[in-house]
Amino acid sequence: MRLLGFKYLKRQRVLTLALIITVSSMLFSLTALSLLGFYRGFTAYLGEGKDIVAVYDRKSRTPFTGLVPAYLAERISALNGVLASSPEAIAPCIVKGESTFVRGIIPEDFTKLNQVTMVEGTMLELDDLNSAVVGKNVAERLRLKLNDKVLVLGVLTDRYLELQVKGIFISHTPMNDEILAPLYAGQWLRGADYGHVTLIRFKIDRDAITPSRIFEEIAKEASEPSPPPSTAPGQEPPSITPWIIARFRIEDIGVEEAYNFMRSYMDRYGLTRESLLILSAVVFLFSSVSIAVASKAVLAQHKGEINVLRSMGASKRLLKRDILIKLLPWSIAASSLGLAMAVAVLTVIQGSGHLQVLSHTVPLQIDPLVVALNFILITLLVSVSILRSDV
Amino acid sequence: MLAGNNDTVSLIEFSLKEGVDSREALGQIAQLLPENVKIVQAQQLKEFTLQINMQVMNFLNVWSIAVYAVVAAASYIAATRLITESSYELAMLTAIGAKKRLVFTLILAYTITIALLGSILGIALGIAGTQTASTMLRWIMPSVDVTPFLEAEQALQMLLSTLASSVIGCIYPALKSAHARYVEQPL
Repeated sequence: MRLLGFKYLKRQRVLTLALIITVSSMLFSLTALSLLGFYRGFTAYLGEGKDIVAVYDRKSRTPFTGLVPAYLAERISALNGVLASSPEAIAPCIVKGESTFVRGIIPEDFTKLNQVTMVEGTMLELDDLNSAVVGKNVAERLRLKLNDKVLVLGVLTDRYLELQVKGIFISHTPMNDEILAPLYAGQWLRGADYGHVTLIRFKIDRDAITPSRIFEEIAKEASEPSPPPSTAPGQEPPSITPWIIARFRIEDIGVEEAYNFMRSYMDRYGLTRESLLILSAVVFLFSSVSIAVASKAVLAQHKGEINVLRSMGASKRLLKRDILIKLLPWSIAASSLGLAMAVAVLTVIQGSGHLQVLSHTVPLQIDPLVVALNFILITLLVSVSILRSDV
Repeated sequence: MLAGNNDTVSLIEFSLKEGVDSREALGQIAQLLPENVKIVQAQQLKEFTLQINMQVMNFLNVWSIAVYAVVAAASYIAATRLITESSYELAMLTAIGAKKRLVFTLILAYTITIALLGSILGIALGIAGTQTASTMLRWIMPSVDVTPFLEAEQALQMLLSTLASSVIGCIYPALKSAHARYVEQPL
């Protein structure tokens, strides 16, 4: 007996199941894509490559609040295999009543690690007094234009600074949500002295040097600090930012790949990629109850038709297989629609500037694992619900 | 001197005396200032923290919309299933003179009761599950610092939102069932 050509499932009832699957799939995709987007954005905050290494303060509770001696940037950059170094002072601030991060940088060094494209104005220079370049997202959020003057209020200390917008930039990193200012401006707003920065990033040649070798060098520096450089007559004048030799304890300093450094902060709060995926799957499993109930409701609604077919000689197995063949394409189409709707909703929310965590836009990237999990879980749920039902 | 204007300044910094009522003092200063001059407070740590928290709350609110959509869909299914399985009883009620309004109220009351009990159980399980998970996480990874909490206001908000989405989900099948004649197969 063949049933494939026989349309006994009513479209309206099947559409109800499809609606439930669409909503459940959308919930799972929204959860997984936004949580993984946050995780990816946060861990890639300082650079994703294995060649970017961060020297940071192990005692700090957040990546934005540590302090390390700034002069280490110069010491370590002299090592063979270190291609570039960038000392950075990150200061949480309030600008035009909105929370924002200001990053004090040495522009020449910073651009060796991060590619920045100016869309308006010109790039910052270290001797630019009270100037800043702002990321495109910040410029839009705070309605900042070229040459605007903004009062930047430090949050960790009662210091403030008036900065003039010298340019607006875009980068393919979370820097789009930050204001870049000269290093000393960042240090001032952070409440640090000129001898300390939040962290130092290095670009290294992994064939020539490793993070552990850098750590050894810093340990040596901690036990026997080098004498300050002397400026002989006729030599170049000291730079605008003096390299002050500051004493430190080696136990307080950490050296890791930037990606691992950010991940270690996430791990402290139990936020790993796996835990976020499990959380998304748990959310899906809760919503899956409604899929299972909806599948059974479809069968209950077709009890009359199924009984007629049974009395005509159709076996339970044949009926289950036939219903499954007819419902699976609907389920897959519904889960695709759910995924597409989730992406659309997240894109709209992201575009409106509401998808932010720690004043940084959560990046949206479609993870193949999320897509695969979405289809696998939906197919499994519908199949199990139908095959285990009492037709 | 360098700006070429000796009558104006960019900023004036005030520091209030200890023990002074800051609100009153700021009010007095504001009265003395011209209209185009603003007073801002430095080091707004509280405001910054509040905004960062609000961003997380916005993120969770967006996510909760999808959760309530699932609740509404589940409520729709529960009401549909109830009507399918109780079609005989509903037809009997209609046959002996029950009005449409009674049938509608019955289905609505059933869904609201289930939603109320379900959300209370859900909140209780959620609290117990979160506390267990966070305690276990702290045992396994001592560096993890997670202390979940739920305020009574938030619990009430969740309860009401769940009830509202359940009612929205069951209205269509309840209305359809109330308008069906007893000879018809509901839905």
